[in-house]
Amino acid sequence: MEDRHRNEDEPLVENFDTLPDGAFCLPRPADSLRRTVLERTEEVLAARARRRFVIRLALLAAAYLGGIVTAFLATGTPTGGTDREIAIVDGSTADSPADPDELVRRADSAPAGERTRLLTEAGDLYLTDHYDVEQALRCYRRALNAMPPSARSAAEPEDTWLLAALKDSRK
Amino acid sequence: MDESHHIWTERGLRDAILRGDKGAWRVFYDQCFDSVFAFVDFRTGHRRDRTEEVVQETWMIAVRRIGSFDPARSRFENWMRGIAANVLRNHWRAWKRSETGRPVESIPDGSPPASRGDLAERIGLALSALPHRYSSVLRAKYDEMMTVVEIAREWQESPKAVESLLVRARKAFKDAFGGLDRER
Repeated sequence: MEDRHRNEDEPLVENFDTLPDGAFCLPRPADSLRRTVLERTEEVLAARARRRFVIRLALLAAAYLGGIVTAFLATGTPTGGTDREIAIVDGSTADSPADPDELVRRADSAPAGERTRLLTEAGDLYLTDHYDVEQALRCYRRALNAMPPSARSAAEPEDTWLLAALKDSRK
Repeated sequence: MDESHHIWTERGLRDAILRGDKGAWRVFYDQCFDSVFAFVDFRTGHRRDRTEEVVQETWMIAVRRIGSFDPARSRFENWMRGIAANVLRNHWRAWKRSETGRPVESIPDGSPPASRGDLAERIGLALSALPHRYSSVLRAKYDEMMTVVEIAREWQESPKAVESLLVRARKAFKDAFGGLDRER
Protein backbone atom coordinates (compact mmCIF):
# COMPACT_ATOMS: atom_id res chain seq x y z
CA MET A 1 0.00 0.00 0.00
CA GLU A 2 2.84 2.30 0.94
CA ASP A 3 4.51 1.56 -2.40
CA ARG A 4 1.37 2.41 -4.23
CA HIS A 5 1.15 5.83 -2.61
CA ARG A 6 4.81 6.50 -3.18
CA ASN A 7 4.33 5.66 -6.88
CA GLU A 8 1.16 7.66 -7.11
CA ASP A 9 2.78 10.79 -5.71
CA GLU A 10 5.95 10.53 -7.76
CA PRO A 11 6.65 13.86 -9.53
CA LEU A 12 6.35 13.78 -13.29
CA VAL A 13 9.46 15.87 -13.81
CA GLU A 14 12.34 15.48 -11.40
CA ASN A 15 12.96 18.46 -9.07
CA PHE A 16 9.56 19.96 -9.97
CA ASP A 17 6.82 19.16 -7.47
CA THR A 18 4.48 21.55 -9.23
CA LEU A 19 4.38 21.94 -12.98
CA PRO A 20 4.06 25.30 -14.76
CA ASP A 21 0.61 26.48 -15.77
CA GLY A 22 -0.39 25.45 -19.24
CA ALA A 23 2.06 22.56 -19.38
CA PHE A 24 -0.76 20.21 -20.30
CA CYS A 25 -2.45 22.52 -22.78
CA LEU A 26 -1.82 20.95 -26.14
CA PRO A 27 -2.35 23.11 -29.26
CA ARG A 28 -5.78 22.63 -30.80
CA PRO A 29 -6.44 22.55 -34.55
CA ALA A 30 -8.88 24.95 -36.20
CA ASP A 31 -12.23 23.41 -37.15
CA SER A 32 -11.72 24.55 -40.73
CA LEU A 33 -8.51 22.52 -40.98
CA ARG A 34 -10.22 19.47 -39.47
CA ARG A 35 -13.03 19.74 -42.03
CA THR A 36 -10.76 20.40 -45.01
CA VAL A 37 -8.46 17.48 -44.30
CA LEU A 38 -11.40 15.16 -43.66
CA GLU A 39 -13.00 16.13 -46.96
CA ARG A 40 -9.79 15.64 -48.88
CA THR A 41 -9.09 12.25 -47.36
CA GLU A 42 -12.68 11.14 -47.89
CA GLU A 43 -12.34 12.06 -51.57
CA VAL A 44 -9.48 9.57 -51.78
CA LEU A 45 -11.66 6.93 -50.16
CA ALA A 46 -14.55 7.71 -52.50
CA ALA A 47 -12.25 7.44 -55.52
CA ARG A 48 -10.98 4.10 -54.24
CA ALA A 49 -14.57 2.87 -53.76
CA ARG A 50 -15.47 4.04 -57.28
CA ARG A 51 -12.50 2.17 -58.73
CA ARG A 52 -13.53 -1.00 -56.89
CA PHE A 53 -17.10 -0.59 -58.11
CA VAL A 54 -16.02 -0.14 -61.73
CA ILE A 55 -13.74 -3.18 -61.54
CA ARG A 56 -16.52 -5.29 -60.03
CA LEU A 57 -18.95 -4.07 -62.66
CA ALA A 58 -16.48 -4.92 -65.42
CA LEU A 59 -15.93 -8.39 -63.98
CA LEU A 60 -19.66 -8.91 -63.68
CA ALA A 61 -20.21 -7.74 -67.25
CA ALA A 62 -17.43 -10.01 -68.46
CA ALA A 63 -18.95 -12.96 -66.60
CA TYR A 64 -22.40 -12.16 -67.98
CA LEU A 65 -21.14 -11.83 -71.55
CA GLY A 66 -19.16 -15.02 -71.10
CA GLY A 67 -22.38 -16.76 -70.07
CA ILE A 68 -24.27 -15.46 -73.10
CA VAL A 69 -21.48 -16.49 -75.44
CA THR A 70 -21.32 -19.93 -73.84
CA ALA A 71 -25.09 -20.38 -74.10
CA PHE A 72 -25.03 -19.17 -77.71
CA LEU A 73 -22.25 -21.57 -78.60
CA ALA A 74 -24.04 -24.46 -76.88
CA THR A 75 -27.53 -23.93 -78.36
CA GLY A 76 -26.89 -21.81 -81.39
CA THR A 77 -29.32 -19.14 -80.17
CA PRO A 78 -28.96 -16.49 -77.55
CA THR A 79 -30.84 -17.28 -74.37
CA GLY A 80 -33.81 -15.13 -73.53
CA GLY A 81 -34.45 -13.95 -70.07
CA THR A 82 -37.34 -15.50 -68.25
CA ASP A 83 -39.86 -13.43 -66.50
CA ARG A 84 -39.29 -13.59 -62.82
CA GLU A 85 -41.00 -12.10 -59.92
CA ILE A 86 -38.75 -10.17 -57.70
CA ALA A 87 -39.86 -9.77 -54.16
CA ILE A 88 -38.64 -6.64 -52.53
CA VAL A 89 -38.56 -7.04 -48.83
CA ASP A 90 -38.35 -4.01 -46.67
CA GLY A 91 -36.38 -5.11 -43.64
CA SER A 92 -37.18 -2.08 -41.58
CA THR A 93 -40.23 -1.91 -39.43
CA ALA A 94 -42.36 1.18 -39.37
CA ASP A 95 -42.20 1.56 -35.63
CA SER A 96 -38.41 1.14 -35.28
CA PRO A 97 -37.01 4.15 -33.43
CA ALA A 98 -33.74 5.61 -34.70
CA ASP A 99 -32.39 5.99 -31.19
CA PRO A 100 -30.01 3.13 -30.40
CA ASP A 101 -30.36 3.65 -26.64
CA GLU A 102 -34.10 3.13 -26.95
CA LEU A 103 -33.53 -0.04 -28.97
CA VAL A 104 -31.21 -1.39 -26.29
CA ARG A 105 -33.82 -0.63 -23.64
CA ARG A 106 -36.48 -2.46 -25.66
CA ALA A 107 -34.13 -5.38 -26.18
CA ASP A 108 -33.85 -5.92 -22.42
CA SER A 109 -37.45 -7.03 -22.18
CA ALA A 110 -37.82 -8.64 -25.63
CA PRO A 111 -37.87 -12.37 -26.37
CA ALA A 112 -34.61 -13.92 -27.67
CA GLY A 113 -35.17 -13.57 -31.45
CA GLU A 114 -36.47 -10.02 -31.17
CA ARG A 115 -33.66 -9.13 -28.77
CA THR A 116 -31.07 -10.20 -31.34
CA ARG A 117 -32.72 -8.05 -34.01
CA LEU A 118 -33.03 -5.00 -31.77
CA LEU A 119 -29.44 -5.24 -30.50
CA THR A 120 -28.06 -5.73 -34.01
CA GLU A 121 -30.02 -2.71 -35.20
CA ALA A 122 -28.77 -0.66 -32.24
CA GLY A 123 -25.19 -1.77 -33.02
CA ASP A 124 -25.65 -0.68 -36.65
CA LEU A 125 -26.90 2.74 -35.55
CA TYR A 126 -24.07 3.26 -33.06
CA LEU A 127 -21.55 2.35 -35.73
CA THR A 128 -22.90 4.11 -38.79
CA ASP A 129 -24.67 7.14 -37.31
CA HIS A 130 -22.69 7.78 -34.12
CA TYR A 131 -19.25 6.38 -35.06
CA ASP A 132 -19.20 4.78 -31.62
CA VAL A 133 -17.31 1.53 -32.08
CA GLU A 134 -17.29 0.62 -28.39
CA GLN A 135 -21.08 0.86 -27.99
CA ALA A 136 -21.62 -0.95 -31.29
CA LEU A 137 -19.31 -3.72 -30.15
CA ARG A 138 -21.20 -4.05 -26.88
CA CYS A 139 -24.54 -4.39 -28.72
CA TYR A 140 -23.21 -6.84 -31.28
CA ARG A 141 -21.68 -9.01 -28.58
CA ARG A 142 -24.99 -9.12 -26.69
CA ALA A 143 -26.83 -9.84 -29.94
CA LEU A 144 -24.51 -12.73 -30.75
CA ASN A 145 -24.83 -14.12 -27.24
CA ALA A 146 -28.61 -14.11 -27.64
CA MET A 147 -28.37 -16.13 -30.88
CA PRO A 148 -28.33 -19.91 -31.04
CA PRO A 149 -24.63 -21.05 -31.19
CA SER A 150 -24.95 -22.25 -34.79
CA ALA A 151 -25.98 -18.78 -36.01
CA ARG A 152 -23.21 -16.88 -34.23
CA SER A 153 -20.63 -17.24 -36.97
CA ALA A 154 -22.95 -17.23 -39.99
CA ALA A 155 -22.16 -14.12 -42.02
CA GLU A 156 -25.07 -12.18 -43.53
CA PRO A 157 -24.73 -9.82 -46.49
CA GLU A 158 -26.17 -6.92 -44.51
CA ASP A 159 -23.67 -7.31 -41.65
CA THR A 160 -21.51 -4.26 -40.98
CA TRP A 161 -17.74 -4.70 -41.06
CA LEU A 162 -17.67 -4.83 -37.28
CA LEU A 163 -20.35 -7.51 -36.94
CA ALA A 164 -18.74 -9.51 -39.74
CA ALA A 165 -15.36 -9.30 -38.00
CA LEU A 166 -16.92 -10.30 -34.69
CA LYS A 167 -18.63 -13.32 -36.24
CA ASP A 168 -15.42 -14.21 -38.00
CA SER A 169 -13.53 -14.16 -34.70
CA ARG A 170 -16.05 -16.60 -33.20
CA LYS A 171 -15.55 -19.25 -35.87
CA MET B 1 -9.12 -2.28 -23.71
CA ASP B 2 -6.45 -5.01 -23.90
CA GLU B 3 -3.91 -5.21 -26.69
CA SER B 4 -5.46 -8.12 -28.60
CA HIS B 5 -8.84 -6.39 -28.56
CA HIS B 6 -7.20 -3.22 -29.82
CA ILE B 7 -5.46 -5.03 -32.65
CA TRP B 8 -8.70 -6.73 -33.58
CA THR B 9 -10.63 -3.44 -33.64
CA GLU B 10 -7.99 -1.56 -35.63
CA ARG B 11 -7.69 -4.41 -38.13
CA GLY B 12 -11.47 -4.33 -38.64
CA LEU B 13 -11.36 -0.58 -39.14
CA ARG B 14 -8.48 -0.81 -41.61
CA ASP B 15 -10.22 -3.52 -43.65
CA ALA B 16 -13.40 -1.47 -43.72
CA ILE B 17 -11.49 1.60 -44.90
CA LEU B 18 -9.92 -0.45 -47.67
CA ARG B 19 -13.45 -1.31 -48.77
CA GLY B 20 -14.19 2.44 -48.88
CA ASP B 21 -16.10 2.74 -45.59
CA LYS B 22 -16.03 6.43 -44.64
CA GLY B 23 -17.47 5.73 -41.19
CA ALA B 24 -14.49 3.55 -40.29
CA TRP B 25 -12.11 6.26 -41.52
CA ARG B 26 -13.97 8.80 -39.44
CA VAL B 27 -13.36 6.71 -36.30
CA PHE B 28 -9.58 6.78 -36.83
CA TYR B 29 -9.69 10.42 -37.89
CA ASP B 30 -11.62 11.61 -34.84
CA GLN B 31 -9.45 9.57 -32.51
CA CYS B 32 -6.14 10.89 -33.78
CA PHE B 33 -6.57 14.25 -35.47
CA ASP B 34 -5.92 16.37 -32.37
CA SER B 35 -2.94 14.35 -31.20
CA VAL B 36 -1.30 14.35 -34.65
CA PHE B 37 -1.88 18.09 -34.85
CA ALA B 38 -0.28 18.68 -31.44
CA PHE B 39 2.65 16.41 -32.30
CA VAL B 40 3.34 18.39 -35.48
CA ASP B 41 2.65 21.84 -34.01
CA PHE B 42 5.23 21.41 -31.25
CA ARG B 43 7.77 20.31 -33.83
CA THR B 44 7.24 23.25 -36.18
CA GLY B 45 7.76 25.65 -33.27
CA HIS B 46 4.01 26.47 -33.40
CA ARG B 47 4.17 27.95 -36.90
CA ARG B 48 0.59 27.36 -37.96
CA ASP B 49 1.21 27.58 -41.71
CA ARG B 50 3.86 24.87 -41.48
CA THR B 51 1.81 22.78 -39.07
CA GLU B 52 -1.22 22.80 -41.36
CA GLU B 53 0.89 21.92 -44.38
CA VAL B 54 2.46 18.93 -42.60
CA VAL B 55 -0.80 17.76 -41.02
CA GLN B 56 -2.56 17.76 -44.40
CA GLU B 57 0.23 15.87 -46.07
CA THR B 58 0.43 13.36 -43.23
CA TRP B 59 -3.26 12.49 -43.47
CA MET B 60 -3.17 12.28 -47.26
CA ILE B 61 -0.28 9.83 -47.07
CA ALA B 62 -2.10 7.86 -44.38
CA VAL B 63 -5.30 7.45 -46.38
CA ARG B 64 -3.37 6.38 -49.47
CA ARG B 65 -1.17 3.93 -47.59
CA ILE B 66 -3.70 2.57 -45.12
CA GLY B 67 -3.25 -0.88 -46.67
CA SER B 68 0.30 -0.99 -45.30
CA PHE B 69 -0.84 -0.22 -41.74
CA ASP B 70 -0.38 -3.35 -39.62
CA PRO B 71 -2.19 -3.14 -36.25
CA ALA B 72 -0.11 -6.03 -34.91
CA ARG B 73 3.04 -3.91 -35.28
CA SER B 74 1.81 -0.57 -33.97
CA ARG B 75 -1.30 1.30 -33.04
CA PHE B 76 -2.80 3.60 -35.64
CA GLU B 77 -1.90 6.63 -33.54
CA ASN B 78 1.79 5.64 -33.46
CA TRP B 79 1.74 4.81 -37.16
CA MET B 80 0.42 8.31 -37.83
CA ARG B 81 3.16 9.89 -35.72
CA GLY B 82 5.75 7.94 -37.70
CA ILE B 83 4.36 9.34 -40.96
CA ALA B 84 4.21 12.85 -39.47
CA ALA B 85 7.85 12.63 -38.31
CA ASN B 86 8.94 11.62 -41.83
CA VAL B 87 6.93 14.42 -43.43
CA LEU B 88 8.44 16.88 -40.95
CA ARG B 89 11.96 15.74 -41.79
CA ASN B 90 11.31 16.23 -45.50
CA HIS B 91 9.79 19.65 -44.96
CA TRP B 92 12.61 20.84 -42.73
CA ARG B 93 15.01 20.43 -45.61
CA ALA B 94 12.80 22.60 -47.85
CA TRP B 95 12.21 25.16 -45.11
CA LYS B 96 15.94 25.40 -44.46
CA ARG B 97 16.61 26.00 -48.13
CA SER B 98 13.92 28.68 -48.42
CA GLU B 99 14.99 30.59 -45.31
CA THR B 100 18.15 32.04 -46.79
CA GLY B 101 18.12 35.23 -44.77
CA ARG B 102 17.63 33.52 -41.44
CA PRO B 103 19.79 30.67 -40.15
CA VAL B 104 17.84 27.60 -39.11
CA GLU B 105 19.50 25.08 -36.87
CA SER B 106 19.60 21.42 -37.81
CA ILE B 107 16.46 19.68 -36.61
CA PRO B 108 16.92 16.00 -35.85
CA ASP B 109 13.71 13.96 -35.80
CA GLY B 110 11.53 16.96 -36.43
CA SER B 111 12.02 18.52 -33.02
CA PRO B 112 11.33 22.26 -32.63
CA PRO B 113 13.83 25.02 -33.21
CA ALA B 114 13.32 27.00 -30.03
CA SER B 115 11.73 27.13 -26.60
CA ARG B 116 13.47 24.01 -25.42
CA GLY B 117 14.45 25.73 -22.22
CA ASP B 118 10.86 26.43 -21.42
CA LEU B 119 9.60 23.65 -19.16
CA ALA B 120 5.95 23.93 -20.21
CA GLU B 121 6.98 23.71 -23.86
CA ARG B 122 9.14 20.68 -23.19
CA ILE B 123 6.41 18.93 -21.25
CA GLY B 124 4.00 19.57 -24.12
CA LEU B 125 6.53 18.31 -26.62
CA ALA B 126 7.06 15.08 -24.67
CA LEU B 127 3.31 14.64 -24.08
CA SER B 128 2.55 15.05 -27.76
CA ALA B 129 4.75 12.04 -28.52
CA LEU B 130 2.74 9.76 -26.21
CA PRO B 131 -0.31 7.64 -27.02
CA HIS B 132 -3.55 9.45 -26.24
CA ARG B 133 -4.35 7.17 -23.30
CA TYR B 134 -1.00 7.90 -21.67
CA SER B 135 -1.29 11.66 -22.04
CA SER B 136 -4.87 11.51 -20.74
CA VAL B 137 -3.95 9.69 -17.55
CA LEU B 138 -0.99 12.03 -16.95
CA ARG B 139 -3.23 15.04 -17.49
CA ALA B 140 -5.80 13.66 -15.05
CA LYS B 141 -3.14 12.97 -12.46
CA TYR B 142 -0.81 15.96 -12.76
CA ASP B 143 -2.99 18.69 -14.24
CA GLU B 144 -6.40 17.93 -12.79
CA MET B 145 -4.78 16.57 -9.61
CA MET B 146 -7.04 13.53 -9.43
CA THR B 147 -6.10 10.50 -7.37
CA VAL B 148 -5.85 7.04 -8.91
CA VAL B 149 -9.14 6.11 -7.28
CA GLU B 150 -10.87 9.18 -8.68
CA ILE B 151 -9.53 8.52 -12.18
CA ALA B 152 -10.63 4.89 -11.93
CA ARG B 153 -14.12 5.95 -10.89
CA GLU B 154 -14.44 8.48 -13.70
CA TRP B 155 -13.03 6.15 -16.36
CA GLN B 156 -15.02 3.18 -15.02
CA GLU B 157 -11.92 1.08 -14.64
CA SER B 158 -10.28 -0.62 -11.68
CA PRO B 159 -7.78 1.40 -9.59
CA LYS B 160 -5.23 -1.33 -10.31
CA ALA B 161 -5.62 -0.87 -14.08
CA VAL B 162 -5.30 2.91 -13.77
CA GLU B 163 -2.29 2.57 -11.48
CA SER B 164 -0.57 0.28 -13.96
CA LEU B 165 -1.43 2.63 -16.82
CA LEU B 166 -0.03 5.56 -14.84
CA VAL B 167 3.26 3.76 -14.23
CA ARG B 168 3.63 2.97 -17.95
CA ALA B 169 2.59 6.48 -18.96
CA ARG B 170 5.07 8.06 -16.55
CA LYS B 171 7.88 5.89 -17.86
CA ALA B 172 7.00 6.71 -21.48
CA PHE B 173 6.87 10.40 -20.58
CA LYS B 174 10.26 10.30 -18.86
CA ASP B 175 11.78 8.52 -21.85
CA ALA B 176 10.33 11.12 -24.23
CA PHE B 177 11.31 13.99 -21.93
CA GLY B 178 14.84 12.63 -21.50
CA GLY B 179 15.06 12.18 -25.26
CA LEU B 180 14.70 15.94 -25.68
CA ASP B 181 17.89 16.49 -23.67
CA ARG B 182 19.76 13.89 -25.72
CA GLU B 183 18.66 15.59 -28.96
CA ARG B 184 20.01 18.93 -27.77
